[in-house]
Amino acid sequence: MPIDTHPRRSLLSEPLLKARSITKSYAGVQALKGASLELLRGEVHALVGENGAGKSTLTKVITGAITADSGTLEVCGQQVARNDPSISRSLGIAAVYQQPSLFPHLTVAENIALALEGDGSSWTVDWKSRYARAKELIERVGASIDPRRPAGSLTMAEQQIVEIAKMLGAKARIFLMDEPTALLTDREVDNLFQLIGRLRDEGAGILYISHRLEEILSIADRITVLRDGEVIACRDAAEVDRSELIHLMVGRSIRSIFPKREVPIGDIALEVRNLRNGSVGLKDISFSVRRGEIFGLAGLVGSGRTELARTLFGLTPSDSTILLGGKPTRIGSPTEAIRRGIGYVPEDRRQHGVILEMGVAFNISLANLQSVSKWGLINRDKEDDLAKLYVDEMRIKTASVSGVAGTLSGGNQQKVALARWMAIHPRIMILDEPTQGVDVGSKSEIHDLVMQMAERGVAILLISSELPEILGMSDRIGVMHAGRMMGILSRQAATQSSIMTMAFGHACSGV
Amino acid sequence: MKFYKKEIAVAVAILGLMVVLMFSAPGYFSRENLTDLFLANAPVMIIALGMTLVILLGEIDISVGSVFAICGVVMGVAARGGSPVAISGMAACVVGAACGALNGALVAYLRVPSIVVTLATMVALRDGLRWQTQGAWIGNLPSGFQWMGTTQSHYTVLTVGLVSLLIVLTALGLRYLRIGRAVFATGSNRAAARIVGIDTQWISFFVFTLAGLLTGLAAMLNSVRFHQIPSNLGLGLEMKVIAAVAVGGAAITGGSGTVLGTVLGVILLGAIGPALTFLGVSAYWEKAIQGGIILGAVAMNVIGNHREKNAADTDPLPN
Ligand SMILES: Nc1ncnc2c1ncn2[C@@H]1O[C@H](COP(=O)(O)OP(=O)(O)OP(=O)(O)O)[C@@H](O)[C@H]1O
Ligand SMILES: [Mg+2]
Repeated sequence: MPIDTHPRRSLLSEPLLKARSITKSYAGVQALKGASLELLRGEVHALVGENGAGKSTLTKVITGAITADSGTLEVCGQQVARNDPSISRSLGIAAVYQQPSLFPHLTVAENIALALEGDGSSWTVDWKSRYARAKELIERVGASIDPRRPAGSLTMAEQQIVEIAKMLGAKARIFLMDEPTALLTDREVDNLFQLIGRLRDEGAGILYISHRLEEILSIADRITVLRDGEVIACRDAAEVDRSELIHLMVGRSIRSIFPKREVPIGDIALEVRNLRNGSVGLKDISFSVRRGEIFGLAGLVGSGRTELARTLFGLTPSDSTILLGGKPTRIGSPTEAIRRGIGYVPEDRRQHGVILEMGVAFNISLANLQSVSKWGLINRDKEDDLAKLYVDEMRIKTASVSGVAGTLSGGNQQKVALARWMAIHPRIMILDEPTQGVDVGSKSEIHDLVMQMAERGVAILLISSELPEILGMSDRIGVMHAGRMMGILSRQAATQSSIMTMAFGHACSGV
Repeated sequence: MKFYKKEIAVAVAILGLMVVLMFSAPGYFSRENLTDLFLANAPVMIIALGMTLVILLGEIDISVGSVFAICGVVMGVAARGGSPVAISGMAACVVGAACGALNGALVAYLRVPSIVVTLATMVALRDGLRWQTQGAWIGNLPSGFQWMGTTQSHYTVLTVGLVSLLIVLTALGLRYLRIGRAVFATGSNRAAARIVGIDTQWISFFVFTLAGLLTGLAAMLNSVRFHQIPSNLGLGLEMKVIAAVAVGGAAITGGSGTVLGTVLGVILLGAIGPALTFLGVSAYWEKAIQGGIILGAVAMNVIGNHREKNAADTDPLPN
């Protein structure tokens, strides 16, 4: 590390990291237009901006995962002439990318070891210490995941935790975190923030990207706002408030974030009685959702919310009875679920949601091909029209509807995943983290779309790790813990603390 | 992918070869030679269409050579037994589809990797055939066997028509049929395809069966050209076909590839061997040069992919 070999006094006041006038363009899109950023010692520097503003691109330029078209990068006052992920790692830069990228067939411990041991390790593998180290790092994030599990078997949130553990284990002084909390619940977020605080006190610099503005305002020292690839502002966090921040990001004001409207609640659309599913650890779950109702599901990471959604959608079928519109039904496969009018936006958009290699229109029409085809023949114009409708309505930022989904920014991919399922007009909609990675503006638009669905009489099951979202949107809230439904709270009875008590496994006097 | 980069690269290679031949071996473009070339490669083309679908799914089928042999022999035996050509041809197609269905069932429903399944069927079918025929060729075919007595030029026209029709149908099917979508979706991301209600197992089964059917059809077209059917037909055919699809730019990992690419791949590989003979390259070098060209074409694809990936970096570093 240059700083250790040339201990010059002036260096100490140098910023840890300086990115100057970075530009980067992709075919047809200018992702960064001369963005500059300074990261100081002992600071948490937040990077905010709308979906597609260029935040991830900037972090990837810093880690060397992609090469900028122009601009310079300095680490501790030393210019980085050539950059790639291994060089940046040797310069003391560690990163958590927006989407976990673990090796699915390797265990958690192996994944962590691969990232950390690298060079200089001995010829033999000390499995005991590998497991111990992995376990310790994961516990530091406040979670417990068996390090022997293959990474492919983890939920997205768990994978995110492993990525954070990987980053913590690195000997680094510059930490880049691209939406590390998009799928984490309060407990893990609290732990992460304590860790970040400790790193900051030790003099590290942390670049922190998130769309959760409350988090930003509570943890950041300074905030840089990106808009369309340009730095619009860099402020002390103490100087700005939420609405000003939104205004800077979006260039306009946003209406209420949770546009909850009273909707007449209809008959029971979905009822579950004593559902068990041994293979994914679900026990004795009973609840019902009515037409027009939004039923929120809260719980910690690993409490079984996603597993419940997958069971209801026929991905991990169980023998228990599910009543659809009062009729007992067994849903053995997604095909059956869709036929019965169930839609499902999965949590893991890269593995299960959008097909990255394919175009936006391909993705949006995929679950709903019959509406754009006749006798099995697809009408391409109709398909494009369908896609355009949603691209406009949801403000999906893409060059065209035939643009490859993998080139969209994370938040825009999420919108594509949502659009696909809105397009099938389901009677029951299961939304697993529908607004993960989506910026404030689009978030309120998505909330509005969800409300519109409810108004049309769709029964909605909403899973979210973001408590304000659950509290703001739901009519009733079921709280899960270790595969069980701990209780169901009415909108009036639910508070942040009552939910958290139950999420930790304590019964609560709900309604 | 948008601008058919890979396809253009193969087309340029073909053009280059043609230009060289034009100057150094104009005899290559004689009518007989071209007809011969076409007829020899028509079965490869038809099988390659099926293989394209299999590879788009992210699977592989190395049993096509053995299936081709069985279908040819079945056709000959049926014809010798007195069935009309149309019926024996149908028998070849049915046997092909049945072999494909066997592969498909094992891959889709028992979840055995396709390379293992088709390696097993390749060996088993080939050895079964050898044991049955004792290596003897099927001769004594009825006189009407060579395409119902039509002359060779009729046969050529028919084959041209059939092959073109199959190419167009496959291309359009992939583009405009719902099942075409399902193939791309399954090949790109099986889990995601399942969630949108695509029966991915059925799709695999269907594609393998279709590939088998096309192999049977190819065997039929091939058999009626001769008055004898060798029982060691189609040795090494799988490699020819897979190489053509790969040269055409289809990704062996599934989800990406075009019918146009496959067609160009078959043309390039089919044209090169005889071209080298025409150019007077020693037979020793022929295979090596052919291999070099395959390697070059595939390397070009891979490099192209990397460029695209670097631009797109959808993998392995996500947003
Ligand atoms: N590989 C690529 N090919 C083409 N365009 C790309 C590629 N990667 C990113 N882009 C474009 O660059 C712009 C910036 O993307 P980036 O991922 O940096 O956004 P972001 O600020 O991280 O957004 P989000 O909040 O949604 O994650 C977007 O318009 C995106 O579509
Ligand atoms: Mg991003």
